Amino acid sequence: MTRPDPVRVVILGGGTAGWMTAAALAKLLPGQADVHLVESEEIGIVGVGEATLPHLREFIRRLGLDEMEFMRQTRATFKLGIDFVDFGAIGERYIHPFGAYGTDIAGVGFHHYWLRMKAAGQVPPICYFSLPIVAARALRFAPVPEGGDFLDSSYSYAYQFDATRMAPMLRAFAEAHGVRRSEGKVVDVERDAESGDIAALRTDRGDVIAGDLFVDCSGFRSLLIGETLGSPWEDWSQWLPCDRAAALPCTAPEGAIEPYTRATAMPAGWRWRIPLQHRVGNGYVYSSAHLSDDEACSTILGAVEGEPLADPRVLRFRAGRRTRSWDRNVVAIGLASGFLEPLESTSIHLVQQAVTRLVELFPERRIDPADRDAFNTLVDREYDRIRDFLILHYHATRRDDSDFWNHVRTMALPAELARKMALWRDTGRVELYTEGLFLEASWVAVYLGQGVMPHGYDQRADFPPHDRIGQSLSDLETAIRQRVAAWPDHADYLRRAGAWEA
Amino acid sequence: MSGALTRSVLVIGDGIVGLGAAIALRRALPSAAITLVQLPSDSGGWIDRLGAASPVVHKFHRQIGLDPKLFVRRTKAEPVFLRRYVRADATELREASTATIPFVEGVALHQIWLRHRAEADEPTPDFAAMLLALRDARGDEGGFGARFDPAAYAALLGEMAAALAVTRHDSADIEVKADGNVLHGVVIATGETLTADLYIDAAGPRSRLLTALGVGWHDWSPWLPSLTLTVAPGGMAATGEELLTTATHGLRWQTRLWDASIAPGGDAAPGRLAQSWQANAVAIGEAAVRAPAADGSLLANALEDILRVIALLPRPGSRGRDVLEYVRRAAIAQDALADWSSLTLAADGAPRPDGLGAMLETFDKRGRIAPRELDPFPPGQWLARLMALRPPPRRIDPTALALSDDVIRTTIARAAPQ
Repeated sequence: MTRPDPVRVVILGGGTAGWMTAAALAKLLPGQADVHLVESEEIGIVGVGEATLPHLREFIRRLGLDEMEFMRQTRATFKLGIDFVDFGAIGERYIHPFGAYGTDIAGVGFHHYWLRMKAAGQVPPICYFSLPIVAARALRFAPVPEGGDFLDSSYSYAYQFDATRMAPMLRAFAEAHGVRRSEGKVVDVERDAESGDIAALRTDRGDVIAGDLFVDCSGFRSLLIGETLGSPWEDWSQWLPCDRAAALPCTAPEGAIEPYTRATAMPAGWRWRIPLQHRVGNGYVYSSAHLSDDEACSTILGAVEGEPLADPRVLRFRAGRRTRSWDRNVVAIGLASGFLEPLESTSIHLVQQAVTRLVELFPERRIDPADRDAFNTLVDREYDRIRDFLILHYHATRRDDSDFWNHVRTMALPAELARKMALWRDTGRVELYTEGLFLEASWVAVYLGQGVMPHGYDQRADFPPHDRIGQSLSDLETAIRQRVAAWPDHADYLRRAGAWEA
Repeated sequence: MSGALTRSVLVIGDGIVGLGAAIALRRALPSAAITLVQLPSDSGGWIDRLGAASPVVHKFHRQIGLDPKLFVRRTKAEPVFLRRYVRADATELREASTATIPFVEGVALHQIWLRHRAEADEPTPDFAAMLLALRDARGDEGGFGARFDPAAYAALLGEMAAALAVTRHDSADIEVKADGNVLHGVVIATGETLTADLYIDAAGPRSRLLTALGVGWHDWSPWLPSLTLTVAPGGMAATGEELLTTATHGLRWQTRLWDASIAPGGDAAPGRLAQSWQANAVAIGEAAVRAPAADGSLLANALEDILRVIALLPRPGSRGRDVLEYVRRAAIAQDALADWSSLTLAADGAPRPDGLGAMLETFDKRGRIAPRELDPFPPGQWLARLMALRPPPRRIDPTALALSDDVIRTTIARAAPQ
């Protein structure tokens, strides 16, 4: 059998998405993908994707990067979940942890027993039964040990990092693995007269870069998939009306560092707070129909704790995705493919998913439409399910203090989400999925955290004697408290583990 | 917030599936009255005559508290790890059991094997034998599950049901009393009307509860043949193996315990109920879906139905959201069973169900299958069977081509049977 020729891959854009794609293709497909990246130093990168999900660890592992080196370079901290403040109602908060509440008992989900005890008025808040939540509140962190017990396997972790430092790190990695880089702005896109596929990019420096497969990582501009191919965009602003963010980095306070990201609901959206080693990232994600840019900037300036390190920077976006992220011979990855606000830290995850799928479905020089269709099906499902989960955060609220919250509380939902919420409200059950990012534990966390109490729970939870469940819950709470008490302080652990950039 | 408990369940059918359902519900609902209606034995169903179940049976036994040693002793159950397909021209194909295909350096073993086969100077060992050799390293996943004596299994479950105070009624036939979409009772031969909060139809192909409620039927005869099963004791297979021989009129399937013949005929036309649960009545196993299978997938599907019923058991007076979720999950499992059945038993050139058609296209091209939501057959099980029954994919996966020759050689050498 003769070997197929290497596929000439041209990546447009050297932001987070571009260099993640380049690094992965170079590492995982040597000899199969001949990778050339075009970027311009004059074009800045968005790089606000500072909060990540545990899946990123697998990406780092597959590239063979050293975790502590990665954390030092990106000034990363550990993350056990997201603290949601004022979402269900002003004054309420909950952490969506990287882990589930409690453990199943006799095949019945923990939250059913908790709901039974709650109905009887005899149970502490459910957050006491989550190791990552208790640890996050205590500002403690420990890595997940190999072969640990049920508590050790009850959580996972991610990073909070400086995204602008990841691209240069991955660039060095990718170039060491044979990726060529061209500096320049694309001034012309040449298309094959017969097929209409993209044939080459021409830069302002006169370079002509020909390829078989083009990866559009040009961000919101989407030069290839959007401007050139005019691939349609599905708009989701009816459900996710936020379309701006005012970003503002600040100095880090002395002392403890939260091992979690905070999202605080605001009158016209929400704001993030992401503690890194050297600074704290902040930003106000808002709906421009409900708030002016000036008001957003002054609000975020007034809300932050540390000293601002720059003026607020306003970013514009719209929620939605391409109907085809892979169109002709162009694969859009990152913001060119779609945008979902960073409420659940999904931006980098969506890049990682798309890169992983591209590796799995990597084409030959002549692209098989079946591979393209399979890629689009997988990417669409990922986006659509995250979309519904984000909409839940807005819709599941009792807030009526602003036009914005009145709108999202009363808006019509996508049909699948309406069905999921009806099932939860009636029965305390979550629609079962095996694919997708946010599975049962995450849905339970947001429903209960935002005060959507179901009318029922699994009747099997009614059978064990009251005292026995009470004792089990109390034992679990004690075990979690004792485990966390033995964990080191998060900031101390960062230094001790070698993650700290001195 | 809390609500009523299910007070009573009436199970129709006392085969393996009906008894299993009654026992499992007794365990899940200790305060409910569980009643079973025994119908005369039926030759139409396959489950009660085929002593075969995937490893799901072990999960089921844990849930109902049946000692695995007792199961083995009473039913002569044996695990099977290798299937040998002997074709009409006497050529042999082999399929090893696995739930997952192992990965080496992020690349699936079958892709590495396919590259070695296409490029290496040395001979490539049998893929099934490689999976078997790795079984010890991966840990035993239960193989293809158990092959056992079905009558002994039904007797064991019958004793268990009796010990658990499941009430039983004999009836030559039943009459269903329905009002619109809701069941009001089942009249048995004595004239007595039995009522319950929940009715479970485990009567196999004779099922009638859901059809009495006006539920329709999806016909699968365009895709799947109607086949007849006959089973005789004593087969010619070696320990840990089963043998599938293409015969003049159908397929012969032998284990150490029994010898089954699957021939064109028609015990029952393949298909499934349009929805397996409506209001207070749910059909499980062959009462809900009929598809020929030459492995343990039929009983596995029925046992998963029982576990699904219990996992989603609605409280009386429920508004039916849990029932809709059951219908969704069960339909996915049933359609996967149609795909699985078609892959193994449909004639060459027969039209394929849409799901299987898409899977075959991607496998034949590049040895890959797309993840399928809630598929009861794990990806490794699909791939192992596709590797056994399909021609090698046309393309070697790029991730396998990207590995060094050294990694390919050592992986094959390490996985090859000693």
